[in-house]
Amino acid sequence: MFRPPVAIPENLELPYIFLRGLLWCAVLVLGVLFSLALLFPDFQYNFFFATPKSTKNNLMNPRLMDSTPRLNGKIDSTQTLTVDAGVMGDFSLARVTAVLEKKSELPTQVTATLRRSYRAFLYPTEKPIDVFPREDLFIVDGTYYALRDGILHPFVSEKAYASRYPESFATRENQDFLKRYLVSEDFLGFRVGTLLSFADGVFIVTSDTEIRPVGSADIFLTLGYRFEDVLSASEEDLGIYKRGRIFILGAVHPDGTLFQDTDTKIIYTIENETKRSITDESYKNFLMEKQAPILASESRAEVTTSCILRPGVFPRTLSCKTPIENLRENPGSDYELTLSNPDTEININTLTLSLETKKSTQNVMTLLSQLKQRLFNRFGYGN
Amino acid sequence: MEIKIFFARYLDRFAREGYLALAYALLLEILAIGFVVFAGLFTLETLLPTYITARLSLAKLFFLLLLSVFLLIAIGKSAGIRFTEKPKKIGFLLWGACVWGVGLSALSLYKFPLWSIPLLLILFAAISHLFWKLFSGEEKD
Repeated sequence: MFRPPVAIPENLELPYIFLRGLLWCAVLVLGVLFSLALLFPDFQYNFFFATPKSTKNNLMNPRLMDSTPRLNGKIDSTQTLTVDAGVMGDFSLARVTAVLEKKSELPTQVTATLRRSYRAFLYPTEKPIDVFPREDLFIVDGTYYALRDGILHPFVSEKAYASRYPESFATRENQDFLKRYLVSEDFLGFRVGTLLSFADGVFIVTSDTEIRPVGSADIFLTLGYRFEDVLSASEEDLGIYKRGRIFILGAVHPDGTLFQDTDTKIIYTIENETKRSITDESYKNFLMEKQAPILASESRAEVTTSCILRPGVFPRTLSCKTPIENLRENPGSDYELTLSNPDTEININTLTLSLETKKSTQNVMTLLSQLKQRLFNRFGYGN
Repeated sequence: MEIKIFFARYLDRFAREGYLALAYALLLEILAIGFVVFAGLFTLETLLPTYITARLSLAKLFFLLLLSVFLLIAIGKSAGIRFTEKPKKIGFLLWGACVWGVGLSALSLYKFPLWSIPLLLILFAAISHLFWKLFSGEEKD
């Protein structure tokens, strides 16, 4: 072993050996801890109520029970505060910490409850769609049009039309037909919720005017999508949209996303922050031919785990931890954290949810496989 | 002034009784371990960008190591420890460091335009030479 070339007095030789031993033990312990942190990382999600609009906040959408956004951390005994965290990984333990404001009263307990699903799938259910939504559609010289308020709106491409309607819905017309109506300069695009690919990127059509690029292949898969459902688009197809913010974990699935409840097999689509079942068979079959629904489960979304936040060693800090093994198999990329039943009104400054990766051989193998892929990508040998 | 005298008195005593030599030896060992760890983490970071820096700031670690070097020099001065002899031959460690440096440079320059590689290497060598001069205190006679 390396020994520094320094003369140690004889009377200090024994303490020196002891301190060296201590040093190497510390190195060993720190090395093991750091290796564990690399192999089984903990993920931390925070919301700083003092800066609710900060991009550092990765706990999403703080709200009260009635879905009213809550940008301060005040909760009384009748209220519940709910936040979401978009996650990727296999976790075994959750730790919830709430740091209170200086002037906040100190409760003896607050209940923290966790459940797992997709944020959009937890939207309230609205009345079903029982008829294939259609409009006046025409095809003239290979271009599809929709007649809206007396104006003909051309579809940007046949693919865009086919993402919304079957070919049989369009009435064939000749060129004279176009002289009877004003033709809009704005093109109609793909059905909202469609997945498009162009060059190396995958985009989600989030509205009639916007597409958002998906952050990475891992995020795409974690959100429940399948690469088989991605339509290749041309530059012209994408040209009619403005590009929105990058779609990352924790982002809510947009309108038009299809979900299937694995318990009842009911197909839902997302619409204006509600989910609506599709009961019209022809519409359901048409959509499912285009895109497989994301699998979710209403019954498993109701499975929760909870713990009681209590004051700990640090002042004004409440914390608790709970195993989340029972949520691991639940389909969904979002954990929903709810704080409720404080025995006095509290004012939270910072709310933190830490998720601990399960220490399993499978997770090590997954991580090593991801590292290998990253290494290949780094040197241009990725797929 | 009194504080200075107070510390000087203690430093003298610690130096006489050999405690500073002991602290020096331990800190030198910590530094050796620290630089080896830093080299390992830096290599991993070069191979897998952000894999380490997402969890640990390498800049802070390097800054801490530099501070420790200054502390080591200060302790060494107080303890009267000096290494005046220059190494007579290039040792195993230095060869290892050279191979590591070349490997890391090759990794960093991978996929750079060919014409820019010699330019970057020359600039890198010039800056390294400058730093060596500054830290070693070598001057032209």
